[in-house]
Amino acid sequence: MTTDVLIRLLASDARLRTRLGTRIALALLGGAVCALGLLVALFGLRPGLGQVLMTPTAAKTLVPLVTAGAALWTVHLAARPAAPMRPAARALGAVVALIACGFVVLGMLGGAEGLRRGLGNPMMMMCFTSVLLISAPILVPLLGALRSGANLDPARSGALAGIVAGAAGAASYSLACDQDDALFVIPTYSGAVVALALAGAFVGQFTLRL
Amino acid sequence: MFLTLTLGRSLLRFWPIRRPFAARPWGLHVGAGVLPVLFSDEAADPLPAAIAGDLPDLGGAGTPPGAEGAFEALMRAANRGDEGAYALLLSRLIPVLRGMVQRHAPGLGPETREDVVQVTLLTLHLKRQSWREDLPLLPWVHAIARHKAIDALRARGARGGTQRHVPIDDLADLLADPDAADPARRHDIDKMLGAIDPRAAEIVRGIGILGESAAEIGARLNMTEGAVRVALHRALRSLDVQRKRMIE
Repeated sequence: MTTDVLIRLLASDARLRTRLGTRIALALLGGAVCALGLLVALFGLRPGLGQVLMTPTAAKTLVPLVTAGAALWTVHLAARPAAPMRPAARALGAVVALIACGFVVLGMLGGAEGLRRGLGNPMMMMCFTSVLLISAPILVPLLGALRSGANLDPARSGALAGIVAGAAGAASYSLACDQDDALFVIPTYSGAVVALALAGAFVGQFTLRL
Repeated sequence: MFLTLTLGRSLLRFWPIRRPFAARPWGLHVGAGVLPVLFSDEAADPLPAAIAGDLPDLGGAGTPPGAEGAFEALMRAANRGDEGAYALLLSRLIPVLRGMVQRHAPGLGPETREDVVQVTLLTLHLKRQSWREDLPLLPWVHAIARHKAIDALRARGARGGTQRHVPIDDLADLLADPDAADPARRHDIDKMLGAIDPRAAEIVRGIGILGESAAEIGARLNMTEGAVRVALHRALRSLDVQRKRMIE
């Protein structure tokens, strides 16, 4: 095929139908609705949720939401070659660093007993798998939307999508979870987010190739 | 282990580490090979008159075709459906892409390089929603072209680098009449069109080779103009897959 023929073909399909941002927004919206539906159907909302959200325990929901926002900002730019990604990557790094610092400080304040209580909580595996379950309906459409982007590093984009989905799933699940110990919540939710990031990286390598 | 290594490598690249200047693809090459091409009318392929009409005013008669903002103006117009602007943009990008591919994959033969240019064009088209309209166009084009050139080099490496480029001058006596239609190209088109849906192939043949409009093809195939355009878009996606397979 000559290049002239190709240009003629491409020019006949000039109009851009859907923007990348719109696709990602629609995917997230659909995923969030499914995740919340799943959450309510499987676990229901925790009793006294309104009151809990007025206390410092609300950080259990807000921190994952902020993480999801920073990861979303980054992955949105990662799907756009030559877009300046550094500020978004730094914001995400800062959020992750703050969470890690929070865990260290709280661990020091709680001492060995606090860590044993948090990390030895028998609900850990249940919460971990629940976050994975709630996040899956967000990850799948998000990866689908990212396919319309130009991901120069598909594993990175997949991992970022996993962080978005995992953090959003963790924020959703926190509305049902009645375990409020930070030394339990941080490692459990973070572990689920990391697992989803790994899964996203693996799947992304094959599905997000340019 | 594989996953850990892959993710680790990705995160290392993702983390904002200050890289050496040579690793910044755009900053280094602006003056080296792209600008002369951008400001040269001769370098660009002539645009068929049928698709060159009704071009947008890019800032007066004295504005060079590749002046700052001109590519972006053309792309914005194209995104709104201006076919003439899009055809002009793509034809202006061809020499730029050839230069980029030559620079990033100098070991490829001319035919493979042209294939990489075409794959890059298709990718630019199919992924053009990933360009942000407030950013310059060429760094985006460059990032994709570089990626495609490296892909082609990797594919050649995976094949064991068995393809060798032989200077065509050495074979001048054996070559057929240069004015005759290129049977390889013809075969190439037939092969690609044979691999996609027959109706889509008919649309591609009509628009690309016969120069028909979407409305004319729609009337011939009993389809609406919109359906023809949707089918063309899908056919282009299929052609992209075919092209990638041919390179790999």
